[in-house]
Parts: sequence; structure tokens; C-alpha cells
Amino acid sequence: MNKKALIGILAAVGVLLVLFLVFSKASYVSNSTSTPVATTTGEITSATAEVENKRWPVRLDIPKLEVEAPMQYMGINAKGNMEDPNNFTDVGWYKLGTIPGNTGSAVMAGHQDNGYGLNGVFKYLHTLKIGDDVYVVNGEGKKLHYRVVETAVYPWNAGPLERIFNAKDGKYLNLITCSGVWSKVAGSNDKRLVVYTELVEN
Amino acid sequence: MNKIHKLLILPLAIAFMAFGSISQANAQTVYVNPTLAIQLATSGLTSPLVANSSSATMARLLIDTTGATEAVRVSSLPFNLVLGSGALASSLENCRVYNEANPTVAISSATSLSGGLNAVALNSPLILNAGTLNTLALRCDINSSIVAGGTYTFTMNTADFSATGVTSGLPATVTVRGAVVVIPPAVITPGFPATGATNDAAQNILVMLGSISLAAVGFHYARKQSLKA
Repeated sequence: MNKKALIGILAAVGVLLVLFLVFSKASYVSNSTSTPVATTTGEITSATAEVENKRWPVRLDIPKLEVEAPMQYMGINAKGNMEDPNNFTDVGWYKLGTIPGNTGSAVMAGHQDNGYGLNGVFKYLHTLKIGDDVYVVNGEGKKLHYRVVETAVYPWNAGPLERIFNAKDGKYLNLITCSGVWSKVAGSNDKRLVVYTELVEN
Repeated sequence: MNKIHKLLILPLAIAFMAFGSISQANAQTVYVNPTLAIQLATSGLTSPLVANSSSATMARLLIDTTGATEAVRVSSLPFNLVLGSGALASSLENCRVYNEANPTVAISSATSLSGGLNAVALNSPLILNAGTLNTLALRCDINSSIVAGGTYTFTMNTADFSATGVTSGLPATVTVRGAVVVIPPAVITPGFPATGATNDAAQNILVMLGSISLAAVGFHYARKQSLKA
């Protein structure tokens, strides 16, 4: 293979890489109010049926992180764990739990990167501090204001799950992403970062 | 009045009274109260109830008018809700009645329920023809406040049920049987989601390498073709 051919191949690869990076960056920082997306696994039902409930969240905004993420609706997978979003740009809300704004713990999860080192929607979730603002927009267009009250890191298989998913003493929104390092045993990272937020009543 | 007059008038009076009353009776229809038998069905209910779900079937009424001699008009349904084991009435939202003959159109407005008697008014009176079987369903949305292990029991008291004959206007004689119990599941607390990137990194890298290889082969082929030309 001569030098020109090699250059051509490298150019083609470069174009592919650029295209990939552009498209995988997608829209987690987006101003659009996208239609909720339903993934196709587990207990997640069709988007058509789901958008009937206007109180369900459709977007998560975290101004400090420049995150404006569309919402997916998560159930439970075969391992008994909350499902995770099927891409790295959306946030997944645990639809079998609390609707944001209601008494209880609403839970949302997002990936930290896309596997190539590109930032996932919750890449910088660990930088949130107590007092930072988080907003949830629901299907009615109502914007709910939450404020960070605590952050914590737990082992991937041991955390205060009752508190995270089932607390009933307030109106909470808890954000989860992976932390730590890859664990073959876990089949994922070995830690989970949880950012606890509480509804700011107007 | 002499004896002859009495002999004539008395039979005439008797005859007039007898025939007169018979002809009057022939001109009237004698109505009896229509009957209505209601059974709270235990089949076809949503079980278990799931938090944040829509249109769960909480109760079904089988209404039998085979004993009625005329059509019956029903304007509201008196659902009696008994809450058990910490169940909250407020977990049920947008409750509506449907006629299962046309299950996509609600025949009552969305309403919330409370413990005890809930008279759910129908949008327009429901006319049930005599000699028919009809099924009505009460469906509600379930919000996230549903309590694990709580119970919702629906009953209906005969005395609360109001139905009238369409033609006669007479109140129907109603009998109600059965009760239904609907139970939400235990709340499922899931484990943590796998939100790290590395869980499918190997797969992603393989796809990437495959794409690069295809691009290289394609480019090489195209170049070869252009050199030939």
C-alpha cells in the first residue's frame, strides 16, 4: 500500500471518528423539550401509553452542569435492579416509584460516559454541592425546583435502597450515577454516587 | 219509589257498576316495579395494582335486567369504598365509569373517591333495556402514593342504588350481590442501576473497529477501481 492510500484510509477513519463523536455527543445539553422516550426492555411500556400521564417528568435540568436531558422511563431489569437509560445522553426516571412533586423519593439515573471517554449526562454529577439547584419539567410544562441536600457514594451492591427509593417523609429527587472503577464481579463500576435533593416549595 | 221502580233500577245500577268498572280496567295498564340484579364481578380486575399506572379496573358490575318488564334508567352508581391496611383513597385518581359495550368512552366524569359511599354520577342517564345483561366498570389511575399491602374493597348497598322504570317511573327493585377486593403489590425496591460506561465498552470498541475496517476496505476498493480506470 502506497503512501497516498494510507493517507486516504486515515482520512476516512478520521471522518468516521468525527461523525461518531458528533452524533454520540447527541443532545444531553439541549434546549428542546423532547418527547419522552421509552426503551424496549423490562417493564417499560410504550411511549404512547406513557405520555398520557402529564405529571410524569419529561426533562431534567441542572444549570450548574449545563445539563438539559430528555427523560426515559425505567422499570426493573431481570436482576431486580433499576434499569439504566439506553443511551448516554438521557436520564432515566424510575417510573415504579414516586412522581416528581409527590411525597416520596423520585429517582433518576444517568450514565457517566459513553465508553469512549466522552461525557455522559451525569459525568460531573459528583461536582454538585449542597444547595445547588436541580429542576424537573413534567408533561404539563410545570418546572419543579429541587435543591441538593446531600451527596453520598455507596458500594454497587449495598446502599440505603429503602431511603433512596421509598422515603415517605418528604418530597425528594435522588440522582444516581456510577462511580469508582470497573468491577468484573459487579459487571459495572464498583460504586454508585447518589445526590439527594429535596423539593423547594414555592 | 214504588216496588216496580225498585225492581227495575236495582238491576240496572248493578249492571252499570259491573260493566262500567270492567271497561275502565281495560283502558289501564297495570305496572309492577321493574327488577334489577347487580353482581360485583371478581374477574377482570387489575391485579395487582401498580403505582403510576393508568386506568386500572377497580370494580365491575354485572347488571341483569332479565327480570324487568320495562327498560330501567340509572343515573348514578353508589360505590361503597372500604379502605384496609393503610390504603389511601387519594392513591386513586381520575376514576371513571365505563360501559364495557363501548369500553373506550367513559360515561362519567373523572372523579376522586373517598372512604365510604361515593355516588358516581353518570354523564347522562343510562337506559338498560329489559331482558339484557350489561357490564359497567370503574377504572382509576393509580398514583405513586399507593400503600403496599393496603386493600380496596368495593361494595354496593341495595338501599343506596336508585333506578326507575323508564315507562312507569316506578322505582326498581334492586338486589346487589358480592364485593370485590383489590390489592396493590408490595413496593419493589430495586437495586442500583448500572450507569457506568464500561459495562458495554468492549462491545462499543468492537463496533468501532468494525466500522474502521469497513471504511478501509471500501476506500481501498474505490482506489483500486480508480487506478484501473
